[in-house]
Amino acid sequence: MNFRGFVLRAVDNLFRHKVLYILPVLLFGALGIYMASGVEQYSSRGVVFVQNGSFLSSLTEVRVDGFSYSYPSDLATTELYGLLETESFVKSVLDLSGAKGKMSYPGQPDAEIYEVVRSSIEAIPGGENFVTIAAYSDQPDVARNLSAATIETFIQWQIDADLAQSRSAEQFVEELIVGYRADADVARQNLGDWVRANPGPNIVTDRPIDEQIALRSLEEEITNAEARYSLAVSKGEEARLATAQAESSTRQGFAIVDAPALPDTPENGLIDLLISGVFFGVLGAAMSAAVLAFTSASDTTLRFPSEVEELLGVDLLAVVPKVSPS
Amino acid sequence: MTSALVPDDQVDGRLTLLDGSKRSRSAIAETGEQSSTTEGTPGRTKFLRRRRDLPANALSIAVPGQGEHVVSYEVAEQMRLLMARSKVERDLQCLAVTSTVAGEGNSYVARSLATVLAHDSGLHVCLLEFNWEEQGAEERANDVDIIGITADGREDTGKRLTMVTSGEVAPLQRSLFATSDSLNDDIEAFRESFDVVILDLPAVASHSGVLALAEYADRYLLVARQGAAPVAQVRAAIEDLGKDYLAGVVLNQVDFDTPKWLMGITGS
Repeated sequence: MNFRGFVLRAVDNLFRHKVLYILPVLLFGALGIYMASGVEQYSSRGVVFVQNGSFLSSLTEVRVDGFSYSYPSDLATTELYGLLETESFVKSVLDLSGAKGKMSYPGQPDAEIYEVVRSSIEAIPGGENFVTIAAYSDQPDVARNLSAATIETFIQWQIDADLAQSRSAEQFVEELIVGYRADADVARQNLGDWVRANPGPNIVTDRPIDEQIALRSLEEEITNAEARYSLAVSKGEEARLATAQAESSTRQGFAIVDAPALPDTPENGLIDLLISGVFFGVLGAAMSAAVLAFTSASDTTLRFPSEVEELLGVDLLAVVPKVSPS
Repeated sequence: MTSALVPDDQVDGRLTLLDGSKRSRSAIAETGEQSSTTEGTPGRTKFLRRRRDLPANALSIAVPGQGEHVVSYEVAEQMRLLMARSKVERDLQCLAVTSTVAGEGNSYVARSLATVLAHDSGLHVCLLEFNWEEQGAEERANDVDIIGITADGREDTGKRLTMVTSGEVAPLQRSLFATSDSLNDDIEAFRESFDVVILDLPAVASHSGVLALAEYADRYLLVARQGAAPVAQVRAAIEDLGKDYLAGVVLNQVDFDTPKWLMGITGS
């Protein structure tokens, strides 16, 4: 059987058993509508203003290459979806939202929960600078918390990325301070130990010259150590200030225009029902098409007058129509 | 001479008719006096009641023991096409009708062809049915009236068809039956007595003896029911019967559900 024969059989089978092939489409479509109407779905949306040239490192590299141009909102949306693919980001969202207990059943693997979170969050760029971040759930508070946590985690991630250098410097100085403080303490301890080991007149100049030299040396060590400590403390404060300023600046680049609110009515609109119905209907159609293709391909009998000559190479003398038994 | 068409204990050179009497084949052919639709018989009454329901331009015969066989106008037209294409009226005196597997409707086609041929041409047509698989079937010969209703509602009568049935033959005897001299003599006798002899054979796949039976005919028709036998099996049947002797194929019980406009596009 050639391709033409297959198509002819498929078409004839389709019309011959049209109810059989249309039934799965109708049943699946009805099932989709039933499923969409049976589960209440709440959504909570927050709108974030993404400023071009902000502290967001990726946004400072807006691509202008030839005819293409990516808006900050597009870049932020792409970045958010990329982050959602990572476990650490999704875990942070889940932890911050506090919704893990409400979104999972006991013993459910984390990977499954993360998938649920991923499928519940949607980012939609709007215009040049706005990104709408929506979360869906059958529980209104979970939807709100997920949306808010996603926005906050996303902004925090941007801050962390931008402030990594400042924080490294801050941490480095903190480590220095600890060391310098210890050095100063050791210097003071050394001086005390030497004085206790070498009792003598309280006036330094009354001591022999070699003791005076030793005392002055110990005192200089203390002075130097305390100076280093003071300088480090000062630098530490400067580093913290720089971090705080940078964080504030980054936050200014991501202004939350509309914070996610607690939804009061479920979203089961006509469009949702239609989408679900059409989606399941297409699944039913795919199943019917598979059955139709299989039955047509496996039919090796003579079905069409033209096949007598094509497949057998003999003359067709008559085509007797089907008659009902008298 | 032993007749292959009657059991050994009934061999008398005559065929049993519907009314129980026995007539010679030549008598049947020449006089055609025996009819399954004789006035006054219960069969006649029953047939008349049916005849009123016969659609215009259709033909009908009363098959002894089996009821009415109606050939609708559409089927009759296809039979006329078949007759023209196979030249059965001019060049073929004995035509076998068979199929690849059982149930493809070769008996229906054979009866329809015989009816239309006898009606349209006025030739003496004998339909020899090898119903050896039909349990309890008896050998008999009948002249049956061909009834038609014209387009203006008038009855079209006067034509007859001779139907001869072989009767049941035990499976183990079928090969012997098919190759027996007596059957050969019988068929020769039919060929001499009738203008056209149509052999309604069982399906090729049903028994090897069918191949031997087909050899009695000048050519054979292969009936293929739509969607019945795989093409490979049909091809094998043609090879077995001999492609050179094939008059052609009749596609039977054809039914399309594809809309006509779509069939026009697809060329089916």
